[in-house]
Amino acid sequence: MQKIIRLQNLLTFVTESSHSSFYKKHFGTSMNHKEVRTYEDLALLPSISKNDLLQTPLSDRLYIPTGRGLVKVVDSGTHSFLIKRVLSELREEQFGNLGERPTVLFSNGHESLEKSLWCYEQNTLPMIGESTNIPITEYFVHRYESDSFLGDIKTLESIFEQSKDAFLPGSQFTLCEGGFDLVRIKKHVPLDSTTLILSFPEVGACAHSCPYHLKNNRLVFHPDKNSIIEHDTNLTVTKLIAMPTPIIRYITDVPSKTEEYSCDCKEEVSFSLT
Amino acid sequence: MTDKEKLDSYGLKPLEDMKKSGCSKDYMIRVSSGTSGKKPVFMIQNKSRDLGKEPLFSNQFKDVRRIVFFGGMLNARLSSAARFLFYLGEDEYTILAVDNVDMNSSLEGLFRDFKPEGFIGFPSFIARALSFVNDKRVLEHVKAVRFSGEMISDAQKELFHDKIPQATLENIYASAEVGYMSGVSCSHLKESQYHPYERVNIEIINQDEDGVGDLVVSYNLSPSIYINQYVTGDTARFLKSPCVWRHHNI
Ligand SMILES: [Zn+2]
Ligand SMILES: [Zn+2]
Repeated sequence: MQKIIRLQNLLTFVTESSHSSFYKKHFGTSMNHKEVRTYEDLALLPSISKNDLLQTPLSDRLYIPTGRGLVKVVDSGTHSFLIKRVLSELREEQFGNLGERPTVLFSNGHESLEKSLWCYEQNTLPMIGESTNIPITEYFVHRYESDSFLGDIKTLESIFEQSKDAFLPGSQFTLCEGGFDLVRIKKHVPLDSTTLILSFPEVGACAHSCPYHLKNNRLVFHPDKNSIIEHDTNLTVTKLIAMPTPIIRYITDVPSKTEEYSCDCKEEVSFSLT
Repeated sequence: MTDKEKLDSYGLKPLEDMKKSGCSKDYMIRVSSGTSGKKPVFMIQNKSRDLGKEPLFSNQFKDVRRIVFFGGMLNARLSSAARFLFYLGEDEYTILAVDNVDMNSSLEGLFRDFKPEGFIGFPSFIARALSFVNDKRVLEHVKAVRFSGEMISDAQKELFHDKIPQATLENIYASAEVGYMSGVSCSHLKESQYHPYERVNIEIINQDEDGVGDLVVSYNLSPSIYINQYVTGDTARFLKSPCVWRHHNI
């Protein structure tokens, strides 16, 4: 289904929901959701920010109260808030290409758990590492003959500081974060076996690095199939999957801009972080 | 006899089976952190031993749907999550796995929002979490608490009776490297007494005149791998009362 139709369905869903009025209140009378026919129309709706999530208890922004899943704590530095994921939508996430025996290792334990459940949903058995005990995690990576990594740059660095050859030759590395430093990444892993997934704990994945540009040392992203991204401003994300806590026009603190570079991916949209 | 090192070496054989079959979802990972200079344990095991349909919980857990897991290694929290989310039928469990970094004063607000109904974890970790909760109404939905990993102290018991008087406390004997060794707690057993889990064979060797000796377990790690007499490091004795078995944790 086209993204724009999925968007219209999502807007209808949140404005007609009997479970939560979070977005209805937030949109107010700014416009009728039925008038959203293009991405430009979407930009006329008010955005939400981390502060809105912080100030609204989970129970007041929960549009899908049922379903097996996980509630995770998202830490914003001084305060925390809850985000719920259910398996039926978590499995749709685009967290990169898994090998057969992935190591999942994020600095934050909630992220590791969420991504590990996602691995289960892809019929893959994850080895969940302990970011507070890297020596033991490196031992487990080795024992598991792990052929892929799903985590962040901090944990990747710490594993490589512990051992240069923890992973099998030819392993795939996927980093899920809100921003990337290619110089730092290249120190440890070759870019042609690396996928960068632009993601945020409260949002999930929203875009992936263009492999063509990455090989040439350029950080260009394409929105994933579940996301509409507004760039040329602070990156603003709308997620089209049926999340219990939907994400519509969520404005991040990451500045971005539209890229005119072309590539072979046949993707319509390209953007970079500035 | 099987010691920790030997157990660890057995644990890699199922990895070969897993690689050959290409069906990793029939397997699970079991690890222990290797305390006091001992090597950690890393094992792959066929999940059928531990992840059957039987929940190994008492009736008190029957209506519990929002569960908080506390502490332990992430692998243990993931295995618990997988048990509830993938293997216990169709019930709509929601889990929240509290991490060390969440152990601060914001916990009260998070519990107010989550409305937990059941707690699972180490008693010391749960006790520490409850010490951050002053408003007991936040805990009023907690029906049952399941402990494992350590014995509950008197001070902890007092704290639980104060903060969650309505909740039943139950205990299970399990270890990171073996998994369950006792079955569902039952009302006519005292805290340090357990019924053996039917899928492990329990023996007590080197018994003294009171019958107290070293607890060893034997079980199938996978259909083709039998662990014979793994020395748990705990001592125990059998009871002759209607409830047959007693364990002292050391
Ligand atoms: Zn591209
Ligand atoms: Zn009994």
